[in-house]
Amino acid sequence: MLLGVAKKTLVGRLASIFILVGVALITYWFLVDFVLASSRGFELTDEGLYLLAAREIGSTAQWGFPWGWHTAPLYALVGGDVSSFRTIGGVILSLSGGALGAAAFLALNRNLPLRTLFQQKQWTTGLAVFTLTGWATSFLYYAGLLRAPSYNWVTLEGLILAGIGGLLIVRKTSGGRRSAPGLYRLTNIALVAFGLIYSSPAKPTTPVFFLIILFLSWLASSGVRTARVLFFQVALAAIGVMAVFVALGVWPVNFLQSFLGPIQGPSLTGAGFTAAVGDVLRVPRSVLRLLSI
Amino acid sequence: MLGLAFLAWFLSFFLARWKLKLRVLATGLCLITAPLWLFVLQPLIYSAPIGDTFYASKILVTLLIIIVVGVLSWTTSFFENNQKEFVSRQRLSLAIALVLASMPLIFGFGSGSGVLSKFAIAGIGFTLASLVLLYSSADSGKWLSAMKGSVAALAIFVSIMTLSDSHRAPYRLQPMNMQTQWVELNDSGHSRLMVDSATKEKIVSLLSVTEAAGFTPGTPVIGLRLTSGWSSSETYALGAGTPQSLMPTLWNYSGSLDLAIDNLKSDSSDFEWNRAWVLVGDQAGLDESDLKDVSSYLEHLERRSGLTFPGDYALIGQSAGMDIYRPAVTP
Repeated sequence: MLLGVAKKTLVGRLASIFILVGVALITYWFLVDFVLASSRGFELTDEGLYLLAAREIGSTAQWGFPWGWHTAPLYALVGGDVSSFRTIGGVILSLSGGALGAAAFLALNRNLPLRTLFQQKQWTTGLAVFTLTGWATSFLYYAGLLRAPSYNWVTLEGLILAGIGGLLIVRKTSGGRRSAPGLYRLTNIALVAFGLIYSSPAKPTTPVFFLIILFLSWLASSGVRTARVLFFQVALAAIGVMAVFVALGVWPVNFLQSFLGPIQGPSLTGAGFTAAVGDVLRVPRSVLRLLSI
Repeated sequence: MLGLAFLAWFLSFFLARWKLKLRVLATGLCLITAPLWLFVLQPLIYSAPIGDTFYASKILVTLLIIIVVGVLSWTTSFFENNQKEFVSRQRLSLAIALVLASMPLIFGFGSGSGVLSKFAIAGIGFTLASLVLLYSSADSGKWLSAMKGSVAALAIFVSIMTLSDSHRAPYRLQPMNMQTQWVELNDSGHSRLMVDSATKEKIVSLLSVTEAAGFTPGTPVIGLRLTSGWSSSETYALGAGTPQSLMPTLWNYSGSLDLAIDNLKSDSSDFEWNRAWVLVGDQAGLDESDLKDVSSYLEHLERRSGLTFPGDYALIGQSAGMDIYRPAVTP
């Protein structure tokens, strides 16, 4: 009888969806917890620093850049439990990885006619392959099993979220389409902006470089006019996201100082931006050396 | 050797551009033989037990193979098709692949250990970019489907190997199967973790020594390890208050002292320097230059806290390889 009510009414249907998603998430939580062995090990150097950085929301505490601003809400959400903090990082990153794979497939197959059963099967298989690959390879992040969300985690998660939004925009604006439907476009612009700003306290160069890449991608797929409009819309939305973070207390009011401090202050290694560019330029040589293993 | 194999594969790919089957054969051979060589044959030939080495560089090479497969497949379009719709599709796939393939590069930019070292952990970008490019190949049919499937399977295989390797040799930890003893931390979540016996001994000893001397959660602590180590985890396990910079510095870098002094001076938090306990370790290995740096830092610390170290502090005990001091007179 209960099942009958659940099927017939809107509230019933919503409730059953809610319960199903809840059960799936809990099951998935335990799976990730098992795969990452979240309750095992306590790394006495780097991981301790990640945990210290995550302890207080909106604080000015920071080692280098203030990545802890974005891991603190997760830490608070799990009640400061180290094992759950590790697991929630794995759950979020892997689900985002799967979503990135799906977004890449959807962007690539925007106009596929699905007239025949064969085509529908092909489409479903393709989507599954991309989603599964994205999901599985997101676990590459855990090489070494440093599981507490860190500055690397924040950078990668931000990149993935911005990537999902950017690719879903490509899906609706490429191939000469003037614009995407309003809400769809707005949601994805907000997602790109959120992802970019999310990564910024971990590595401030990330949002800058990735926005340039997204612009080039939109340029190639959708033309100059659309790319230019999207660029400015994302930049505006990014300012909005920062304002929301300050309003919610995730970022302190004087957040600019926290970014400027590490840039203007002394560097631990003495290496700066120029050294980082040099490192990128040396990649081909390093790859050739690596191939001799 | 692997470099030569790569070169042969490249040549076969381009020389056989008009023969799909040959091209697929060359790629398929590479997809199978490279991981076989890296993960099975090489350890056997060089007498290393299978699975006994850290895979980081091998994983990176496999990821590079995956991305190259995608790029080469994508280039086939230049040989075979020039229709308008096809060109538009190629532009689209290039736009998507650009976003994905840039991720590891942007992720690793500025990394202290080098951008290449970060490629593997952000490998999701490379694998998805490769799949996107494969899906835009001019080829079609079951051979291409097999190639797409192989790339996806290889990517998943690499992920499984990475996780398995990480459990065997986690970063700065004993293998996961040795983490079997429960310990409870003094953090806000009263976290319970399974650790190895040495770590458990360290944590239990640290908590009991400090508790016996009157330490309570929130008490400020300066983790002053003096050589390459630092005390962030000890500070976290104690549930201690930290200065704004979380730890004073990381010693043994060219900018260690400058950063330590800057962290001390620029601290605008309400951290109570004159109530702070000090954890000191690793003094034995200090050379003359280190000692100079340390005494210079202690002078600055004295100005900030108003306390002379060690004169105004009481040594309450030793634990986890560190001397634990607290202010002799608590204000």
